[in-house]
Amino acid sequence: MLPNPAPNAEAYDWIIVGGGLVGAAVAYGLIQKQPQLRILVLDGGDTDHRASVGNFGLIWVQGKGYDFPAYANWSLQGANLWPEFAKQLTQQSQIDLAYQRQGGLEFALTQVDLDALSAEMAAMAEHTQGDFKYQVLDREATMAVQPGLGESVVGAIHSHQDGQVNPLYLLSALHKAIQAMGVEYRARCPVDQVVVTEQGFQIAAFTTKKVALCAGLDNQRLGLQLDMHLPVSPLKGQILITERAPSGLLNYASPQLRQTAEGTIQVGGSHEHTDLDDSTNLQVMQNIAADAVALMPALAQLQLVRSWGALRVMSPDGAPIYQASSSYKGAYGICCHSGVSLAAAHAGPLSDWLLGVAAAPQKTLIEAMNNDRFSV
Amino acid sequence: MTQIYDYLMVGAGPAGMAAAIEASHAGLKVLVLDQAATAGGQIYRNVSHASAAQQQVLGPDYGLGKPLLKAFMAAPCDYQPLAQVWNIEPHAQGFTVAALIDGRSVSFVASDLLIVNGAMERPMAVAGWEKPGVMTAGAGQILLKASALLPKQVVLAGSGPLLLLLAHQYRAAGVTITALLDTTPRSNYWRAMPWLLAGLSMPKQLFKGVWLSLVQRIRVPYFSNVTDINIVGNAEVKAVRFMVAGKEYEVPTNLVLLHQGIVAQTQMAQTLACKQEWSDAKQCWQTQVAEAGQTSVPGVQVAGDAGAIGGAQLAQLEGRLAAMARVKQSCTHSSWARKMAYLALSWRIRQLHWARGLVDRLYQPAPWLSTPTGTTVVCRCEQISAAEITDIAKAGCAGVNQLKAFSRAGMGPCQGRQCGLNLGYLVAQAQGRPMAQVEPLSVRPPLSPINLGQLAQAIDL
Amino acid sequence: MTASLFSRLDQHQPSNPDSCSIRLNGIEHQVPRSMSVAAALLYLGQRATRTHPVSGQPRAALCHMGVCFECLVTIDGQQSQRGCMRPVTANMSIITTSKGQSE
Repeated sequence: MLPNPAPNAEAYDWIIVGGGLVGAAVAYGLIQKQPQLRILVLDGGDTDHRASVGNFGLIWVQGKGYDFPAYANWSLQGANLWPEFAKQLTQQSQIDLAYQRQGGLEFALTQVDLDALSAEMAAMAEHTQGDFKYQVLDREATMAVQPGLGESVVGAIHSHQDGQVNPLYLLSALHKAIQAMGVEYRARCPVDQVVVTEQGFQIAAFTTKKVALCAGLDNQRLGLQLDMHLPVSPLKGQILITERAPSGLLNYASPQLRQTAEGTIQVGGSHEHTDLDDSTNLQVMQNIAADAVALMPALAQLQLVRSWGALRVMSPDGAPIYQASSSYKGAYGICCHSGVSLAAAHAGPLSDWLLGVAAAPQKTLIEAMNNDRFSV
Repeated sequence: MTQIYDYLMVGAGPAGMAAAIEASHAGLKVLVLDQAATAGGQIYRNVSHASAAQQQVLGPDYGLGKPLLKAFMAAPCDYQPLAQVWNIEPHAQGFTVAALIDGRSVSFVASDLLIVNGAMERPMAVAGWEKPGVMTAGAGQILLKASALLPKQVVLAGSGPLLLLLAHQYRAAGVTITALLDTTPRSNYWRAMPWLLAGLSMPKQLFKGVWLSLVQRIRVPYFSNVTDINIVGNAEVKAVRFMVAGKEYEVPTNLVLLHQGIVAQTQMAQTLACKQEWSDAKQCWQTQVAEAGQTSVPGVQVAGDAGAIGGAQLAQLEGRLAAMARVKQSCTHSSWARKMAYLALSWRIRQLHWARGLVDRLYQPAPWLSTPTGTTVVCRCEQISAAEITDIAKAGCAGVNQLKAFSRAGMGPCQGRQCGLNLGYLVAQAQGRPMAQVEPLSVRPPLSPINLGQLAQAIDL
Repeated sequence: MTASLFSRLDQHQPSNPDSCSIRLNGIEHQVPRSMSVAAALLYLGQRATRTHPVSGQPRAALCHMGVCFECLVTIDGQQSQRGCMRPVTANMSIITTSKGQSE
């Protein structure tokens, strides 16, 4: 027997659990497509683990899904949707996202690395029927597009389809835009339990017809309550950020180095399997700094302003999980660590899918990323 | 083989020196890391080298640091001046403390830590405080102690014992004090009244500060209950405008020294995840400590003004007590005499903290200074105004950390030291929440500057 | 540079034997050895010691104790050093990003 909702519970069409980049982009997509919806976003506390504010800020295509064709196509589509998404969001929020699609470089410090990267890119190009475009640059060609590199750089992969954005302003703009369009946002509302009712779901004093879990690492726990297997675990990344450097020091975005619109240089990032521990560590910071100085010796002079550790929300194969609960209609789980790269895709086709109006090819693509690929 | 210290102090002020003396004489292997060139902390800065003229201006209390400094220099401990601690993290045998010394990062390992890096002045975000020609009263005292520099002319503004002491010292040295603008709200006097009895048992140095406040009124152009301070001028300061009881005044000046009390430096304890608590009396965050400075993290103690603000005399006693507690851990038995000394010391510390209640309440910051408005710069590093911060806070952001992400306030080189408290007050005001519930800015390394080249070559001893 | 807002307490004493020579923006000056770089700049009348990266406005030391990061200057070729935390040494070269004269 399912419990009835509390008599004076507030009723919504959708509750989004999680106000990070994934939850905010989904709320943005839903309210834009169906402005009459009553949507509530429940966010956590001020010092909760937040992948969204530890993000590096790349809108990255290179290498994403080289071993998973659906993810490869989804990433490329997401990056291609970004220019229009950025334009619209900037207009609505009046916040400059510092979005740029000036292309990306992934540097290689050994020939073996460069060859491995080249093979991944070739696989991606094949998965996308040649829509993913890239070039393998040797040392000379790399130096020509990015002066100042160190002796040890043997080459790089270049793709003009990569870009960057200020992830913090993106989150801020999404929060501002969704609230302006009537979405209710509540911070410091940690969700302990999602209760299934006759009419849908109940969370604390709120009832809803549908619920989307966008709670990052907490999705695993919450998913179980709705009979969904959402196997995500933390993967720590430490990032360094320097004082402002003259603009134009770095011409391209890169997973190793990125110059922000303000001029600061972001240096990243480690991949450490830890539990819920986001502290920094001297040895890792030292390695990150040493790699950065090897890549570009002039960076040695720049003062470190901040360092931080953040926990990526990783599925076993690194690709997103988009799941509809088969036991409870109207419950969805959305897990991914590419909240920036995929923000436009989440606000666009993924929101269509959640509303049940996605066209056949999009529906097939999204559902290829459900949890069937992980045996339980 | 890495040398492992039994006890490492960060800071060589009264608390650090007293602790090092106590612990090293008891046989512990002690290291003191200090950022300054000479020991003494801010209070006894340069006391061993100050000229007779400086000592005369600074008064007899300054000289109280000399015997302590002498005992510290004679103590059997290692002491490293000009060491900027930039990272502290747990280690298999305790903690690793990384400090930049002479341009190189050097790591030290210790089983136990005592954080004694003192306090800083409460930032006083008034309109125009970012202009050259505006400094803090603490800066004025440091310049006098370390460099024998006196202003030719000055306007002093704010509240608190240090401001009044500086006025007294400057006046004695013949400095022209164009005006003393006292921002202490009238209501503070009523709030402090119940603590008058406690105040009578204050150490005489503190008591003098309060007494001086009465004397200053008749000796310099003094304005009380001042509000709406606006420091004007283009590149440099030309004048200060302010209000008293609805009437506007303007005094010409090139130099303004601001002060509104001091607040604990909690960053080091925060990086180690020591629990923090909001003090309503002192209006600042402080590290939660037990009797002898023990924090929520085993092996980490905090003493002196880095913990609960109490001034130099208390800091010295707290440093000694912290060291006695650490020594007790390493001893199988403790003599009756030591036990009695420990009890007497901890009783005296409690009594002095109680006595401090008067000063804490009398000099609480004026609400208009805690919640600046309009174009007043709150985050100096990133140039973020009070209005920008209030707008984001009103939209319902989760707290100061999310506010930092959305606005850049607190992201600059000072890492929120100058704006963190105001961000908290502004969020609390906009969202109608008590300060104790608005968690402070998270702290991440570096605790002091280091460049990528130095980090890349950090040495692990 | 403008007139200094500060003067030495012991200015009437004969020339200090502890003074040393430093170069500020390429120009040589004598300053007492005990001073921090930030204090020396104040003593020499260098009121603005950097240009703010966001506002473009002149800035100078607020706290002289290492917590405001307003006194950042280039010392012996190393950029963004806190002037208040470094004692002057003989032949030290100090570069301020703001070239001084602001009147």
